[in-house]
Amino acid sequence: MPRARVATGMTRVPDLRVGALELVVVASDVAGVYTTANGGRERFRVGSTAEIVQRIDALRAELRDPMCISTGRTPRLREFCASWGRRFLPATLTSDAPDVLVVVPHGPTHDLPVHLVEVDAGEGEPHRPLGAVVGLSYASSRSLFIRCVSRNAARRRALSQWRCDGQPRAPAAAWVRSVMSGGADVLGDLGDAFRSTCARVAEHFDGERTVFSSGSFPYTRSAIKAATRRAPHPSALCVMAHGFIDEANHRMSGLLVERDTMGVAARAIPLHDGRYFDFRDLPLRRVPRWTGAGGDAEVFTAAELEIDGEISSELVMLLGCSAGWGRVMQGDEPASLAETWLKIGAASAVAPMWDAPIAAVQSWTDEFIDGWTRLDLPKALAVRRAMQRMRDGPFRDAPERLGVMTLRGDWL
Amino acid sequence: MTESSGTRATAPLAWDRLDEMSDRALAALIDCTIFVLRQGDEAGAAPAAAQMPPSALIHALEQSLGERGLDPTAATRVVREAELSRPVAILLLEEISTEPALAAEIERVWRERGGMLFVGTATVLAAALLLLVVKLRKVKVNRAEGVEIDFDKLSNGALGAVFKFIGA
Repeated sequence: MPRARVATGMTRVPDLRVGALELVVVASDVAGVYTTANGGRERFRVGSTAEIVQRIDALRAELRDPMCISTGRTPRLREFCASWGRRFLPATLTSDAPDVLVVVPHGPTHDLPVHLVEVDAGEGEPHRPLGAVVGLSYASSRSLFIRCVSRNAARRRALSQWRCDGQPRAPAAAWVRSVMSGGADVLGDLGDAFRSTCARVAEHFDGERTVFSSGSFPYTRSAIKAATRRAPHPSALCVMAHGFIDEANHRMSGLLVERDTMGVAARAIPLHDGRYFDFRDLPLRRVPRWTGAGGDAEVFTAAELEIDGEISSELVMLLGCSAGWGRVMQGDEPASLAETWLKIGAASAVAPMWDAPIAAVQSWTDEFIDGWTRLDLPKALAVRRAMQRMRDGPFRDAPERLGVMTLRGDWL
Repeated sequence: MTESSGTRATAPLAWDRLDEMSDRALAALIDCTIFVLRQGDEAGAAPAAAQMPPSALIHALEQSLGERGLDPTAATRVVREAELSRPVAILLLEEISTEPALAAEIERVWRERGGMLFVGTATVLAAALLLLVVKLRKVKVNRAEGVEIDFDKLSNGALGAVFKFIGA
């Protein structure tokens, strides 16, 4: 059983030990390359591709089944956590765990919940999920990770200013964050929960707060895109809406939001010399009939976000269904709405890795946002703290709830 | 930290007012029912009916109905005629709800699913449920207490109601 050094959370940010775990899938084998906090390299074999892919497919089928998740009947996930998932971790990682680990999956290992793999926490200590031991962030590729890091506004802040000791930051801290938070439940039965979650998220920020969840204004495509058009962009954007995956054309996957009661928004394209061409900003697709969403709904697609969006926020929080997973496209590109936000400029994104009970998402969000804002922790450590606290609560024996939310992109 | 906040299914499931449910709500209840029936099928006779394409579903239903001495042509109607989905599903669910242990288990699962951040299909899978009702003989619910339900008796009542409705 691999044993992990349990980080205490008392390290200063400049002294944080950060490692990276890259997974590689080729025709014959699945392998890993672990870069230690000291720059050392460890290469290891996970197993044969045929065997691993078969296991991953079975696990993925379970995680995509809402009945398995809602009833907690997840034997494959539990087996992964306690058994074969450990093969994805190098010996060095578990014997001397870093404070932060960046995981770069490949091919079929995208969406694999490495953060849930159980590691031995020490003599007499019960096993813990890796994500409760190290602050873990996923990056779908090395290039995307570099882009996320290079544009992260938080990296312009002096590292010595960060708190990492679990104490609330000083009220007059120089780093003030703004937020735009909004949600809509167009299916009509979780509206109160969406609104209260969005409002609670916003309360944690000491800068400008814009909340679209009051009920008096519809949460529309325009409302989401407002965050991408304002200058400066908000430090954090929180979007809570039902999402869906279009299996045939991933870019047409999207979030279900409210139709604009003011009619179709008109947008002006500058032509030349003060002249403009107005066009109607229509959604790129109709609401899929199978969703049962009524006529008051519209779809905000990933394609629309790619075409029409740009954002430099430190964090985008996607608290909806089907937001953090999708197909792996050509060029090892995992297509998901969370990925799209990273591609258009967000430094980091948090999103569910599978569809989960809203109670688990709310609990994680409360803990994470408290750690990131009030305690001024780097995001990855706020994620670790959230997982630790959820595990100490009612989610200990429910990996499908405990591990649903993940951080992607930059860890700081 | 609790796990109870935000769940949408807080009111008791009104088995006697299923016809007031939206298609999406009814579809979710059928999903839950299919899940419970398949989980409780220790003999492994329950097919993955919800995943079957229409042609395979018709074939399986025709075979099962024929084995029970019922008119197999009803299978095509139940699968193909969309307007039959709701009433057939409601008749099946009403009959299933007469077994208290089964109804309680379905309601428990339905409640858990109600708190999911998930967009389910609004398609009412009445034919898939019908196939399970025809195929199953015994269903075990509440494994801790080991409540076993004789599904033969239940399915006779359900099939009677369905065939009376569709006039087959």
